[in-house]
Amino acid sequence: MRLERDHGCRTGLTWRCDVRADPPMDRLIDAFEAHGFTLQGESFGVVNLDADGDRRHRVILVPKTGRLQLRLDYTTPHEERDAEAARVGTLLARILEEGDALPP
Amino acid sequence: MSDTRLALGSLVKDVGGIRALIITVMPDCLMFDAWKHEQEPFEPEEVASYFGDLIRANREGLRALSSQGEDMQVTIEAGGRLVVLRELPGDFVAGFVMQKDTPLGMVRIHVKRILERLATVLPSFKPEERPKGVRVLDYLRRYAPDPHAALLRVSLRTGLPMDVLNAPEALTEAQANVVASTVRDILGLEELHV
Amino acid sequence: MLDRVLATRSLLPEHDLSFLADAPVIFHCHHFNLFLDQTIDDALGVEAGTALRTRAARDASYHLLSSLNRKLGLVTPAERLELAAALFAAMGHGRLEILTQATGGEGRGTWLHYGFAWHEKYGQAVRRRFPADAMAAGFMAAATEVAYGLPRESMQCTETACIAMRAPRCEFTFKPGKAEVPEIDVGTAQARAVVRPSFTGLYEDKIAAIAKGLRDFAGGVAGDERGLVQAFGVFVTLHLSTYYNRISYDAWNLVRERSPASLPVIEALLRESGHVCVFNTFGGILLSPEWEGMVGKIQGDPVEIVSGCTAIGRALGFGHWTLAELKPGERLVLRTPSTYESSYWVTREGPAQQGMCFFVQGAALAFMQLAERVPWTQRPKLTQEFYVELFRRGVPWSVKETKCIAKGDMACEVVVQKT
Repeated sequence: MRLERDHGCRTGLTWRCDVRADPPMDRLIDAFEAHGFTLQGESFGVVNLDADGDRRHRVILVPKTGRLQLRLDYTTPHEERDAEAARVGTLLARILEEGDALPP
Repeated sequence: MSDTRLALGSLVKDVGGIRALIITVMPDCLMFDAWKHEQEPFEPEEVASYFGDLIRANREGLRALSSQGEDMQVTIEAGGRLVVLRELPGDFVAGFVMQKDTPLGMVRIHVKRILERLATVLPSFKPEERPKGVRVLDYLRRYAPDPHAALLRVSLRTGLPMDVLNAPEALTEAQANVVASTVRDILGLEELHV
Repeated sequence: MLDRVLATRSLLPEHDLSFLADAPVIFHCHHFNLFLDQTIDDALGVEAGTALRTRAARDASYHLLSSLNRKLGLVTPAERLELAAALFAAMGHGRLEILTQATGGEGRGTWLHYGFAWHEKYGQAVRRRFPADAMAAGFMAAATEVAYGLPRESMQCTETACIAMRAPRCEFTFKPGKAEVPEIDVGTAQARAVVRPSFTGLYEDKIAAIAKGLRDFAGGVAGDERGLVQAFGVFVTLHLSTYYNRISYDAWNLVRERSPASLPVIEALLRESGHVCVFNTFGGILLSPEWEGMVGKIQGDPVEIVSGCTAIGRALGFGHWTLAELKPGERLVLRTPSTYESSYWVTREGPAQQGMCFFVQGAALAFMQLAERVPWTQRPKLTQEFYVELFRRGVPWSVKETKCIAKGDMACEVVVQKT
């Protein structure tokens, strides 16, 4: 699983990775919730999950296409954003593995 | 990149870890010559201007510290690169862009050797300073947050038409001063060192 | 309470103009907000620019807050001020503490959209030497007038500290002053009187369906716990179009009077505010996972991009934009029976001698830039560097507003042509 900068990422807030298209959503959401994320809603073809804690990072998943976007909380200082994305990315890799959502 | 007017390619061919060598001519911060590794995507002309500005800013800083010397070297480590800037005789600045993991001792040796060789091949002319209006607007283009709109902003603030600003070499002294003051305001600077 | 506020939202459905209570509202991003404010200050100078922006915010906010209080039946100053602060945050403008009486007082702001977004976008490159939050200042002045039943346009406000200037929070002072003569409000009735009979254009079914989906999506967008909205890679506000129009057209009028030779320059910059908005925000929406989930993955076909942008413009409340003509690589004709700009101009300024919809002009130009110059299938990042590079390589398009409701035409029409 490789997290890379996504659009709107001049300031390092938006990152993306690919997951399996049409992943097993119940299992994947369970994995997210087991690692401190809260499901915010499923609508308009996307699933929103927020990280618990002081910084409310958000994960947006498009199950149909297998796109995952990580939006770091905009209060994350500029100089910490790359490291914070890497930290969350490591966590995401575990979640995706546990949720059987890694791309083939 | 094919070799250059100072034959920089042959100067750097045995230097491990070097990614670019850029020669800037002061005080206008224009590129005089450059060599870069073929996989480097940047434009040397753009980088040359910033290298010149860095040297000028460091000179000012050292002057404020009463620590001026002839052998000033600026070293920057960031983003996987090691950048070394050195002044050369005749108002030139040499900018060495190295891979960050190049041992510092090796870098010093390479820099020293290349500077010695450059000193023998650089021309000895005294560059003519460009008109103030040209230097000010060049500086604005380099540092304005929205460079594509910067000239329009100067025009709206000063009332000087765009065709006048598009020929900055012809600005009168009074016009150039108004433009300089406006550029300072746009960039939020106390003073404009150009 | 906010549910009751949201229930006052309305739409002129065939014209895609939105209202909150009776005040016209649109979604706009921080790129547009910052660039437009900057243009006003460039035109008038910082002091006069800030004064105009504060007056315009007070004018537009008074219309919103007084209509809202009437509709909701709020009576006491405390409940009216409480509503104002909650509404400001819900609209994505940040958090306010309004500590005013009829005799004046103080206000504080945290996470204010203008100050915070300026600091985020420009703060590392430029030192700002004057405050950024005229919108918050004018809004709180209007809230105080409405709360205490003071004469409209009478409360004066100054921002004394600003996060854009690296202060820990924004601070404001208020004092009553001489009331200015209020302008006529540009509300639902005025907009209805200005718009022309609606019509459709190319790819109508597709555009209408996407616009509806986006409007539903936007209906759920509200400020987070800090009172900001981060979406599509930008900070978004639900804003008062009267604010935008008043600052743009008052500045335009002043430039015309004082320095007519600079008129094309301010017009170019007003156009650029539309261009930077559409390029970044519309581009961001097209590249977003929300778009991918709702509409599908972008393929990069110019028709797909331009029709998508047209739908976005409708959904954000800019007017009933339609495609009259689209020849990829050559020409675009955008036509609309309604724009938020012409509604204002006709109501407050009367007949115009030229096309006055500068935002639409810049927007249409950006449509073609997005359609023709962005490598959509290569996961592009519409960064500031990419944006600047487009201009460095030259803009191979010209734009002209060939018809405008403000000058009596039956539609506003903008033509973008390859040069």
